[in-house]
Amino acid sequence: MTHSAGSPAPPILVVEDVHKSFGGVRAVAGASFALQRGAITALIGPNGAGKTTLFDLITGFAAPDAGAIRFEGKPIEGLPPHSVTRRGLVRTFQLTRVFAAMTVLDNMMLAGRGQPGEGLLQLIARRTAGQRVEGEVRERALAALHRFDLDGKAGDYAGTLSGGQRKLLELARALMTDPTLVLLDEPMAGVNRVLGSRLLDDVEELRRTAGMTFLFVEHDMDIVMRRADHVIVMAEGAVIAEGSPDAIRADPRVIDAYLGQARSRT
Amino acid sequence: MIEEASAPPSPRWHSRLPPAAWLALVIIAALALLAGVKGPVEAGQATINGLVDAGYVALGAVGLTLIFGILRIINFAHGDFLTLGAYVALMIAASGLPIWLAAALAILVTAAVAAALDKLVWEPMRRMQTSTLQLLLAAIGIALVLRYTIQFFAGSQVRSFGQDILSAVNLGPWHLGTLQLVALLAGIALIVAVGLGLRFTAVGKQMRALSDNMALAEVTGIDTRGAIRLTWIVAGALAAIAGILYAAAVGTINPNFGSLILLSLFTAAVLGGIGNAYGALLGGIVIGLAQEWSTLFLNARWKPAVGFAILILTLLVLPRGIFGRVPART
Amino acid sequence: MLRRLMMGTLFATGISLAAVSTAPADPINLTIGKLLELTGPLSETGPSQDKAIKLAIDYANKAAAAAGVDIKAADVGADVQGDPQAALSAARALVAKGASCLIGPSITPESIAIANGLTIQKKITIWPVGTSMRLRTIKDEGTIFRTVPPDSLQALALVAGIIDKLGTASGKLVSIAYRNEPYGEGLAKDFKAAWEAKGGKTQGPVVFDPNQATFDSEAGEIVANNPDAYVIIDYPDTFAKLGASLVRTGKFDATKLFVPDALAFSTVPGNIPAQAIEGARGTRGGTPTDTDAYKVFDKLWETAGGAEHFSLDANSFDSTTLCMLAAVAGKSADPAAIQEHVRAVTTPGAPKFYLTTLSDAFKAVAGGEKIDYVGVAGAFEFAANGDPTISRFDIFEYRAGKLAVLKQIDAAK
Repeated sequence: MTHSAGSPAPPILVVEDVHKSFGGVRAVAGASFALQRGAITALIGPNGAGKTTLFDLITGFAAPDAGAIRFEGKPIEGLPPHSVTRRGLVRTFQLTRVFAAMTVLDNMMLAGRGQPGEGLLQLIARRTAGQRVEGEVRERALAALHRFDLDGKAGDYAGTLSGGQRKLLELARALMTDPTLVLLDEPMAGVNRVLGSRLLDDVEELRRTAGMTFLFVEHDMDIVMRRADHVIVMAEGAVIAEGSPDAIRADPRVIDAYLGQARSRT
Repeated sequence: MIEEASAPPSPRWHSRLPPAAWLALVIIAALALLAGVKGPVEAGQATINGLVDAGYVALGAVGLTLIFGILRIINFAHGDFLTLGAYVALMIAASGLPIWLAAALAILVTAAVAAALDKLVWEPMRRMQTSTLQLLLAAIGIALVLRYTIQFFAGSQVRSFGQDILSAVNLGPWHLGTLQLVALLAGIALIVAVGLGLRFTAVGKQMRALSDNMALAEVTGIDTRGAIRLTWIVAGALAAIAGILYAAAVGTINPNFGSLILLSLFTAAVLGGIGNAYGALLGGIVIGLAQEWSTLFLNARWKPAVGFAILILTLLVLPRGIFGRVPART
Repeated sequence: MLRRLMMGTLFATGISLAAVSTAPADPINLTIGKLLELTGPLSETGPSQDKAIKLAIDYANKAAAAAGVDIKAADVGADVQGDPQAALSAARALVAKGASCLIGPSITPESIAIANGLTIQKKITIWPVGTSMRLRTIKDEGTIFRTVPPDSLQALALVAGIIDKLGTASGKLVSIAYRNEPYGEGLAKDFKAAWEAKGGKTQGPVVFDPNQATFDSEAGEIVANNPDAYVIIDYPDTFAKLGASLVRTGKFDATKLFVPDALAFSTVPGNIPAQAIEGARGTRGGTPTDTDAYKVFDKLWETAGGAEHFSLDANSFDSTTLCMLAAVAGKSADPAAIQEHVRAVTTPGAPKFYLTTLSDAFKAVAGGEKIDYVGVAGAFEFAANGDPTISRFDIFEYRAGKLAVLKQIDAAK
């Protein structure tokens, strides 16, 4: 486990020997890695390598059978997803999800409300707490929508958005939770090149201006090579290699396990 | 699934007019026709009777539709929550407390029972990701346990709040019972409150988010467990209010009354578009009016049959109910 | 079969009848099953039915002992819950405990379920307290006897009761309504025919479903056209709701209301609004109260304490007595033997015996004589279908929430 040069800060996320089986099928078998704060890391691997399961384990959608996951130095394995989100670790889904029957603005504002420590009683009391918080959240939401050119759609139902707009909304919504680490599950899937590179420009800018850390799953090797600082390669539930894009490109194990297959796919 | 009256535009032919307005036009036209054929006094009285029926059914159906819309549970125990609310209120009132206090305590108790059942039954079942069929069977089991527990403690005989059910409000040639009017107005007010609450409050939006996409709600930072618990508490409280109003206005109840009207509650909920609070109200109105209007032409023995005939006909024309819509998700 | 051959031999060889009665015959240990409405819509009737049957067994045991007739009856009971399925289970349980006759139940669908599911096949007599003519639509093979007045006779009593109030039937309009059950359907049909045969007019019937929340439309139809009388055939739990709806119409006059026995209560239940029933009249199976038999019965009842008189309690008392007499006539507690001998103890034209002479009745029956036992509720003289051909009815009126009997009439086909 080596840290990138010139990065004295401790890793933001540490995954240690994590295991998960579903009915005898080992989806994740001893995966270990660490994410550097402020880096954009790509997670690659053939289909069935366990990437999405790993996302589920990190974000609380499933509890690992064994192993440890630490976020900002604290264990988070087994926490419910909303607690993980409130600690500043947020994810997107492979198939874009939006609250279709709600307006775009409501989609955003819901995410803005889920502040740490907000329990049931506070939720009920919130109505009487006045409009201050409400107004603050609304301003942040509108600003985020503006950033993604969605402000014209604020009053529309999210279900009426195009696939690309949903992708943007998903990222915008994730930012509303004030994350320090964002996990993106195939952010380019189903998105045209122009929009895709625009999304990644936004990611790079957020890393630069807000110091956010990103981990993303991607199949398009060109994108991975151009955009990622660091690449983690999974196969059969375990991390088989990691390093800089150039190092990974040259690693024969990775070529065996993955690159050949990916080339034939694209 | 918890939807709003003005939900995303639907592609159907009547989409230019909101369903509620469309329905109101049909009802007014039918009323005018009936008044012409049968005379305004009889048609008006049947309409009032139908609205009273609607009030009873709609408030009961709201909790049912909430639970299905948000949690996808077909709650067969909902009728028995009505019974529970009414009986707890009866028991407390029997100890000498004023009726309004007894009712308030009964609402709390019923809500607490609903929350406890979520903790003891529904939450473990959610964790195990049980199938719809297992959830259905669990609901039926809870229904039976509730019913027989009530019967055990309260006996199976007919009971009454002893309120004055004879007093009537006369509006020209028409009349309706004072308590019936109270139940109707309280029912409509509560349904509108639930509808507005779902639409505008933070909690309501979280519930709708939950119903829309549970996983996304989680990543959005919503405490889904808490929101689900709250959904049960609201459904339990609404059921208790419905049960108490029903018992007070109808006059007499026995431990089976909730399970006996459950089918009507389902009919109203499905007819209105399951998952929609206003749908429960409109569904109740359609069923109530159809049944009472039918007595102008048919023997009253056909009333229950007319209700279900309307349900089947409506579902043939509007498969998702009056407020139902084609999901906008892709 | 063997027993019957032996009996035939006894008669053929001319052994004296007196010898049979005094000879130490096999003692008869008879178990009488009580099908009681302890819960459900008629739960108010359960305690008085229970008491009536127990009193009858007690009294007849003593009378038989005094006559030197060796029969000893005991009772077993079960709750029929107002529900046909539950009633059939209850009957099975009683038969499993050795019951040879079953007294009750009060609701006709319960009796039909029991007869079809159990007693016809086993030739066990049942003695229902329900009065519906629907009971006679099944082929009971002579196993169902009723001491209670059947609805065909009650319909005639209602007609007589209304004429008594209005002076005439001719041209008078009666609004008919009934709860959607065989009891109401049969009685309403018979009443309509009898009323119209007297020159009266009817409207309706308004038929209502018991499980609905409101009865306002039904109430409106019942009071429409300002009829001279209403006949409403209902049970107390529904009438609590229908009654309130009737009052709310503002057009309802309770003194025009006539009800049959299912709405006959010594004291009106608290949940039935007084304005819906005060001053109403009705009919119920009556018990002649001026007879010596009634005085004995009433004294037994009062001495025993407990449940108060309820309609048809004397009938269940009589049914129990008849069952025991028939067992003695059949010389067996075997249900089939009892069934074969019911008519031997209620034979028209035979010497009459009464409750006051029950001991003599036992002696005569044990001696093989045919008798005509006249019960507390009157003579039965069963028709071919097992129903009485003549019945006594009370015409009553509710005054200050209490039932007051105005007069008694005999209704006969």
